[in-house]
Amino acid sequence: MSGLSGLVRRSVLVAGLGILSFTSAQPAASGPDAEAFTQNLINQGVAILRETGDPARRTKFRAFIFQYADVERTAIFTLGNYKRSASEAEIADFVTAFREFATATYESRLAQYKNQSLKVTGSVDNRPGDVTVNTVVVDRSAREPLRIAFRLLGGSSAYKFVDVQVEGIWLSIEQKEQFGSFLGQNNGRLPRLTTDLNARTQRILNGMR
Amino acid sequence: MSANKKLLWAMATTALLLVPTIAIAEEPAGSDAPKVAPVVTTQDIQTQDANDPFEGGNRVMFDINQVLDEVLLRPVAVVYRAVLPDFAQDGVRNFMNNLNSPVIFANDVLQGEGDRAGTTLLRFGINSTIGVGGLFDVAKEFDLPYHDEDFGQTLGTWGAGEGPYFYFLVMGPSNVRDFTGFVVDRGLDPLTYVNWGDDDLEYVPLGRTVLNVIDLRARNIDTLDEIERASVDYYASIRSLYRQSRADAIRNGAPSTDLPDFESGGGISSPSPISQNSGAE
Repeated sequence: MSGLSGLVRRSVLVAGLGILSFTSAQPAASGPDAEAFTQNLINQGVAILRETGDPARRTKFRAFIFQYADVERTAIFTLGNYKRSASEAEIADFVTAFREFATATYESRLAQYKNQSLKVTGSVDNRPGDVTVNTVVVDRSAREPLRIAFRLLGGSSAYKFVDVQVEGIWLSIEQKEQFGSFLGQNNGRLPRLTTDLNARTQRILNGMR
Repeated sequence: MSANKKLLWAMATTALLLVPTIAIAEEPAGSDAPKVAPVVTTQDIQTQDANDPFEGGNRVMFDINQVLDEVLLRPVAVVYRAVLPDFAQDGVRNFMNNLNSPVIFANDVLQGEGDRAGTTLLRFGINSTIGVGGLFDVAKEFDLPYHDEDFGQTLGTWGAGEGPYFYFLVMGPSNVRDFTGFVVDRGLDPLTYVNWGDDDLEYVPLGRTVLNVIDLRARNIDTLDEIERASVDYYASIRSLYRQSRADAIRNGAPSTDLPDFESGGGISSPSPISQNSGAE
């Protein structure tokens, strides 16, 4: 049961965060610079989330996500090898569906937001232009602090947040395994996954109304 | 039933569950869409990525568990959460964690984690006394936070691979390594033997297990609902969450070196970390 206990505890923010990927035209940096860049983005996001009396909060946060999201890169990663058997048009439709699905998932959790914040605790330079920035969720009501890490990739001109890890669970891997399993049972037909994502997005949005 | 008989029953049941089953059909009935040959077969996906060669049988167990959860466990958990105030639920959780201290301590030692073993020992002493039999986590206030260990993690630190993934009836997700660890942990647990020679205590281990499950389910009603709603394949989602979660537990939360490979858009890369930074203030 201990494994299952750990699983569900780690799942708390996996469900909440959905797919969060950010991009920015910031100069390339490593270590402390990447941490400062991450903390700055977190502060921006949290500032929007705390405007609880603002009826436009959801719209603002959606715009914030869209401004910094590199959804296409994340979406294509989650397809794994199945992308090779899909046409460009099918992939484009999937990326659009994935973007809406990820945003709706996050919006759904936004309604349950409870004044949580994130604090940068350190980073790991994986290789040149590849940094993982570690944070913890500051939440007085939580029994234990939750660990969240952001993966930054970038060359000489830009850094990109391409993945989020919650309590040791990379969201991109979880999505990739889900989609791979779904496609495996549907003969690799990407349009079926796109249709399912669109329907699921609609149900999530209906549930918020 | 004696503890030995219970163990034999558990092993026999497990042996039955381990029998390979035929994989589910890939082609949905009634489909008239043109067939497109997949680049990677389902078997390849499962073998290479999910480590789930018995997926067909596992999904059957998963579906049965879903029904049991819907008609029994979830309703009980909803009532449990509604009736017990938060502080009482915390007390139950603290009590259960404290009862598991001997198993955690043993695995701390087996992993050579002296500091963590000391923490577990101190926690057990403080919470069992000042904490009123473990109902209150007083040790946390002394900077002795709770941590979990089990023999599955111990095997992992010794270099044992996880083995094929299994989804068990009632017990849920596991694998060969973790199930072996589960059996050994029961042997390390003093409560396993509490009813030996005393039939009046026969239901103590079972009662603890049932309460553990209800408490765990109650604390995650909303979370699991959310995951299920957002998953295109709930079974695969749980499998991935479980496997990644266990890998993280074995590392004790240390950064992983097997990172998603976004460069190729495919699998997992294994970069050599250049440096670790302490964090910007």
